[in-house]
Amino acid sequence: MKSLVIRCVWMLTSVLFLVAYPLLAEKERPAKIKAAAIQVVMVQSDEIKLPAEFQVALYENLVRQLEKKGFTNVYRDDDRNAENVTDLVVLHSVVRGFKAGSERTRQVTTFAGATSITVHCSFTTRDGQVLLERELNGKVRFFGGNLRATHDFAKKASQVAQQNLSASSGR
Amino acid sequence: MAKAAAINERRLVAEAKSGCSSAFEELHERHRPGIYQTALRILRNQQDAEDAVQRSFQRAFTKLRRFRGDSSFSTWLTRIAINEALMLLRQRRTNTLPLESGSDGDYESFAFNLADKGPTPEEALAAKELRDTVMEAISHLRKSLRTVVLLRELRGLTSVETAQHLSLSVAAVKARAFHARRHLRLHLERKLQAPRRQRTVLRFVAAALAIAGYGIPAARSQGNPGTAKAVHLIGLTGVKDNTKGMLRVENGQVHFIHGKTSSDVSVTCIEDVVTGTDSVKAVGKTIGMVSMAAPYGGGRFLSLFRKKIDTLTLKYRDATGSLHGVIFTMLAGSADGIKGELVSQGAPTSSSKEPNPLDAQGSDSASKEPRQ
Repeated sequence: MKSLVIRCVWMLTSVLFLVAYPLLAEKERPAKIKAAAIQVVMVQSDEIKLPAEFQVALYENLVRQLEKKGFTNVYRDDDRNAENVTDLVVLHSVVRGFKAGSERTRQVTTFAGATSITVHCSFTTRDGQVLLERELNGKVRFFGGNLRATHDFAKKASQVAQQNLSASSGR
Repeated sequence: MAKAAAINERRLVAEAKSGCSSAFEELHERHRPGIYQTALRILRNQQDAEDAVQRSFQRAFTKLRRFRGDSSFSTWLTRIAINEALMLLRQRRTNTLPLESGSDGDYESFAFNLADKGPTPEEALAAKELRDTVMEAISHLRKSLRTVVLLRELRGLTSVETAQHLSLSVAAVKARAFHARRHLRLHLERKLQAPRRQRTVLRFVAAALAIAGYGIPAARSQGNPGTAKAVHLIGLTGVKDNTKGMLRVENGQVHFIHGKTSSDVSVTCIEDVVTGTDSVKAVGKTIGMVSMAAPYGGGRFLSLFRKKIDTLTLKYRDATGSLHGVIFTMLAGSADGIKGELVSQGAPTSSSKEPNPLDAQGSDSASKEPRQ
């Protein structure tokens, strides 16, 4: 009987811990940055040799994924409409690493030939004050062309934006 | 059945050799359509192709005694037709004169102002060298593979037609074509590695691709370098990804025609034009294959049959100044034609810039990145 009670107490404690932990963790998470709009700057790759198609695919996928994540005001590089928007967050991306794999190698070996791209993302204010920085990477390991790595990166970057920015209307 | 036809043909050749004109007529009737197609593929002009056919049969008739029978009669005849067609092509290039600029009264100045659009002696020599190398590569193939290459790639028959011609299944024809291409590639690559041939590296590659069946669409697009079939990968507003269409450069506009709609970008708005070839020069091979859905592991087989592609990347600004990027893929060799047309109409390109010394460091850092 005594052991049964101990077991029940154990189980109850475990359940309470499992339920409460995420709630506590959420409270610890810092407040989201207010962002009425995001402006995506063209991906820079001064130090890394990056093919033009990758640069363009990174940029276009970023714009598209941010729009998909619910950011209604996503502006492109040098968009004049973004000049008067308050709470504008500018996303700068700099390529830090690129390894061109091979689709054929992936298909033939099924384990080698991965394409990976590492990008340093910094969310700044219009004045250049850094709000958030992350090193993100995009990979394609198995299926698809090399450009899928850019899609993978864009999804991760937009997820970071969604988690850390609050899309308040500021227009 | 095929064996019987071959025996019959051998008999006809023997009779023609012995002077029987009706036998040669029969051979002429049999092979004329195929030879015409081969000539037309090279010359792209009906009259010239007919001339080439006539000259080919004339030459075949006079040289028939020298035909040893090592290959089939059609192979021998095709080879003659190709040579004749190429000769006509060369003549046509050298003989074309800009008539509108000439006048009877000013013959001397007209003659001096003529621009020779024909190949230079060096180019002609290189072309001959190239042709000989390709033909040599073909002659090294096994007979079964050689026949398929000649019928499919040079005579322009489809896989089905080739299969019917050889009494084989379509799958067997495709397999033979694949093996033939691989052998040709290997042969030509070996040639490429020889140091004395370095100056003709690009020509050999072009020949390898042409023989491998990749050059034909590119050659077609040479008729109008500003037009090519393309697939829109990403970036064009209002156009879905992977939409197939026709890319055309016309009157200062780039038109991507898909279905009944056309998406246009003005050449004046373009900031940069880069092709896959430029990227390969700058970085190395990145996108070379057409994506193809395949079950896991099935790619081992399917990847061997993929076609090489080229990319065309454009950066442009819209009315609000926003920067856009568009990527198109097309068959290898087509992108350079489009780029050339765009550049000739004033579009800037970054691909001709001097290499950045920092780039070397960049590649090092990329190579140091851990394999993931």
